[in-house]
Amino acid sequence: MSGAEPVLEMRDVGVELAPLGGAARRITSDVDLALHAGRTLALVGESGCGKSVTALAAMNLLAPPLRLGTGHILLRTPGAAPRDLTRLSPAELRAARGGQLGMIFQDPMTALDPAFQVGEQIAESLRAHLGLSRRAAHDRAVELLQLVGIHEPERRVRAYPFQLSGGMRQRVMIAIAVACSPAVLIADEPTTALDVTVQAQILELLRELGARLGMATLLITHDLGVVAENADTVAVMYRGRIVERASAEALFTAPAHPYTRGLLASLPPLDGPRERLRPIPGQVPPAGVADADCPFVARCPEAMPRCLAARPALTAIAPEHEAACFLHATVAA
Amino acid sequence: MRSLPAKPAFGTCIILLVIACALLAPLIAPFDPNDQDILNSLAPPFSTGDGGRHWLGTDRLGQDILSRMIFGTRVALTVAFGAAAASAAIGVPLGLAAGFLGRAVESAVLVLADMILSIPFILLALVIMSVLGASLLNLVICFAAVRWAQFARVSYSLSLELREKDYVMACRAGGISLGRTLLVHVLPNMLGPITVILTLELAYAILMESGLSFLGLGAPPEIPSWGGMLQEGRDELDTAWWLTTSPGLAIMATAIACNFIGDWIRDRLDPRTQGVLR
Repeated sequence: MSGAEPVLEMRDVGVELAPLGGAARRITSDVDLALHAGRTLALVGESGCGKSVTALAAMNLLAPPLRLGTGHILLRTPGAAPRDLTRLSPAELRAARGGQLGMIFQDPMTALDPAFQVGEQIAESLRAHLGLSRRAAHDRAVELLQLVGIHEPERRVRAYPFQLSGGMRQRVMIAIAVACSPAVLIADEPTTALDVTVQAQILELLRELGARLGMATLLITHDLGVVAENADTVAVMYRGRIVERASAEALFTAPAHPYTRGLLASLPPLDGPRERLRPIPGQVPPAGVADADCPFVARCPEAMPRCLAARPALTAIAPEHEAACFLHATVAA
Repeated sequence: MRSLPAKPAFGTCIILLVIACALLAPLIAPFDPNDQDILNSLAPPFSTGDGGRHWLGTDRLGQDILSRMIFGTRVALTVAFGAAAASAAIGVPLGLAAGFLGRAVESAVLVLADMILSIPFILLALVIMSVLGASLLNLVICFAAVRWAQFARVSYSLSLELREKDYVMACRAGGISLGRTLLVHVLPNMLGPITVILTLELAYAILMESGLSFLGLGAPPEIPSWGGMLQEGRDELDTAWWLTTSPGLAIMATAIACNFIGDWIRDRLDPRTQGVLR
């Protein structure tokens, strides 16, 4: 991880679910993430582990019944003092979202307003944040469509969302997200709704844009293949906590947490004899964090008595490699 | 272009006819609607009076029914469009506010709307009109004061759906202000259903205006209105059927026409019925 200070830093973030008239329940806890300029951090985990909620929290976008229980989100943009997103006024927050923070949603089919031409939707952001004139915003929208690899941008800028394919719509979403050259790009499963071939193109585009515009990217995904090809660092989430954090290379060559190992083992091998898939045994746990024991203990093949007695903390097991598991704590101790 | 099916075509014709009558009333009405000809009172249809033929007969004061019918369209349309537009102008913003401004606003608007809709309209209208007095403007105020609740409930339930849309979330993520999000991205996407409610409210207002006029609380007597004509003709039902038949048919035809158009728009907007229509 580079020596420079992270552009976006989430410290000790915990999200709560507070239903109307019910008791608040913690969904995620102690989430620390640091996004560096020009680099991609992948957040991996199965459905319900708190990935998307973390992405929303990163933009301070949680809406009832979800709310930020604990933690701070620090945004460091060049030429400005670090700002805590949780302490900004609504107007400052609006300026930061879309201005310094761009977000790409999972489903490009529903994330564009069906009633407007895509160019108008790109221009809306430009006019709101950069104060461009109608004309200038339109011209910039055409450039942005070109930037995200849409052919004939002069024509497509007037297209309605229903006239575009899924891949093209996701390109438009990316164009909207990067329109104001944000410092941070948050992509919540940007390729889940797309064909496999289109997925690769979109990821390629994201990587290229991240490098070219120097954006810090948070890539939320459950697809380890996507992680291997696109991420610099990886954080693995399970039941609302980060259980392992490492460089992408270290994670794939030397996975430390039994959950990460299980995830990797469950991938079908591309070569060699075809065999049964190896799932992680047990049920996907309900949302919410537990404090008393290791969150993975019920499904862990290497569970020990002490795993039931206490929850292992995230500790360094190698340079730039942390895991929350007693297997490694004993080695270190 | 595909031709209109029979029902909406019929509805459109009726509404256009009514609008044309309202606009051109002084030109096409054979008599002054308030011209009394006592000597020729209660003349049956097709009889000839001073200055022309009374195609639909005359009333007790010898006023020409056809002319009063034609001028009556003005009341019907003014009240109907005024009432529907005013109700929508109040109800839709309140419904949006209920959907987007948090739980306190939501409860306040919904409770108020439910309270108003739980009281029979004619009762509320009687109270309001007897307090305000009979005039066309007061009729519109009376409708708006009650029927906004219908629009508020519909636009509230639509905003429940729309606020979960990713593109509304994308507006927040993109730092677009709530006001702009509502005006530019939410409102246009609820216009279809709102239009349907508008047409149904038109029909409702025409019926209710006639009802109120019949009770003597609608349009003032010097302005010819369909409901007022019904009321005047009520005493002569046995002897002069033509006093009530024409305005009754006009009220029915206009209300049905609005409903046909509303149904058609709703079917067109509902993807589930698209296959059936083609």
